[in-house]
Amino acid sequence: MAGSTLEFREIVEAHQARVYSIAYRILGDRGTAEEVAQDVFLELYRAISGIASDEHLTAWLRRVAVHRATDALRRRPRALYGAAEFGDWMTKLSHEAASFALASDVEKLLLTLPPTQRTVILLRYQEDLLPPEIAEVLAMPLATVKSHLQRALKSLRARAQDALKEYTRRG
Amino acid sequence: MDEHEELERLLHRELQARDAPPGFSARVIAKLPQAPQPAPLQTAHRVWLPGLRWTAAAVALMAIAGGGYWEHQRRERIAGERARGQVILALHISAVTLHDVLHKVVKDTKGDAE
Amino acid sequence: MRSLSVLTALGLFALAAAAQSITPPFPVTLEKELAARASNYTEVSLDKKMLAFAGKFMDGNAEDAEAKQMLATLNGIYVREYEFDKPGQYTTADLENIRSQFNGSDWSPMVRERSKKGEGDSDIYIRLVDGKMQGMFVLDAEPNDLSFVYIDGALDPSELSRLGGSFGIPKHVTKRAAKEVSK
Repeated sequence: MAGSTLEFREIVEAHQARVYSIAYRILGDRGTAEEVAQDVFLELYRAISGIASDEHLTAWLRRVAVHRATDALRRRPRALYGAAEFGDWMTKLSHEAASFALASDVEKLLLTLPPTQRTVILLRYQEDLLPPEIAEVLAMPLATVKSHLQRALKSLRARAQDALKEYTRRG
Repeated sequence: MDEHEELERLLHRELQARDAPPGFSARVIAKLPQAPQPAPLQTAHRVWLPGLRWTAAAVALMAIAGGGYWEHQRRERIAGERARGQVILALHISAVTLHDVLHKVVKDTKGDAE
Repeated sequence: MRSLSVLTALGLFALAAAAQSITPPFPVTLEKELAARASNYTEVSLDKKMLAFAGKFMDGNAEDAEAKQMLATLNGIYVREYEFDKPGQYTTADLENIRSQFNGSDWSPMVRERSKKGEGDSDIYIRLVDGKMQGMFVLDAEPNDLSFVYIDGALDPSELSRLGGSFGIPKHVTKRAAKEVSK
């Protein structure tokens, strides 16, 4: 195997968990998450000459993974809209509940959040970013990031009672 | 430990990055184009910087020459960014409110059925 | 602690764009009373001109693109959110006062939940013109929180719900929604 390909594979293996986790936890669907994660690394391969440091690489992967996963969410099929289709729209939503099946309890809770709240929570608690860093990744005003974070935690608190009880029991 | 701290600990613990599926890196490598090989890391920014210095100088000259126009643009940009933020916030609150109402409907429906 | 950053931002709107008259669809006196009683509140009013102005600056990311697409068919978005330190800061009459703005013949109630345990009320109304959704009103009332949203214009609720994340709605709920439509 050529030297630089071996280097690139090492980079993939070092960062695949981060990239895949971001994609999976935003999308809630393993198949699409892997496709997105692969695309992120293929894009990295094309852009790698512009990467200046390990920190730059991590930030680049994080930002691109978030954006590609969000793009993939947006591309999901549109429902028709109109008066009588209101009920149909609610039926379509019920199909998405199947994606809960293989996720952990916390990942399932995460999927109940709006996409942007979900992303903010991931960047805060998976990636350990502070709100100003999150604002930079998402190109969003800091006040909006804080609002998303506050609302997300409030929603999770309300919905996480059982998960918290189990976590406390395990210690 | 209060409820908020418990939740934060839970999130930190449970949201550690999960492993990618087995064989993921091999599948990525298999999709790489055959040639050319990527350049080594850490070279591009040195080429990039001199160009950036010239661009920055040109922008500075233009800013001095067209100060009033740029100031107007800057103010409009600031106002526009705030407007954008308000729209995102409004849509976000709308979506969350709708979502919460629908969840209550589900919960009450399950309660009726039991 | 009151949240005033939104009102500051609204002040900047007035400076940056020509002064726009935004007619709120909610009872203004009640809004002021609710804000006075709230520990935190958020009030956002965006008419068509404001939405168009904001749209010019929405090109940063995927969420911008999705939001901009939604804005194209909207005439206004009006959001009110209040948090209270204790229950009892608004009355049933207050909620009726808000709902009364949406009592016209072109408005159809899709969801009408009244909690017997005093846990709060929920409403979704949609406005139908020639069989198409041209507006939506959502009210979510809980003992310590009150939120209401009015979106004026042609709306695809699935686009909004993608921003909202709605999972786990079982099929029998859709039957109830379908019944509401057919009344």
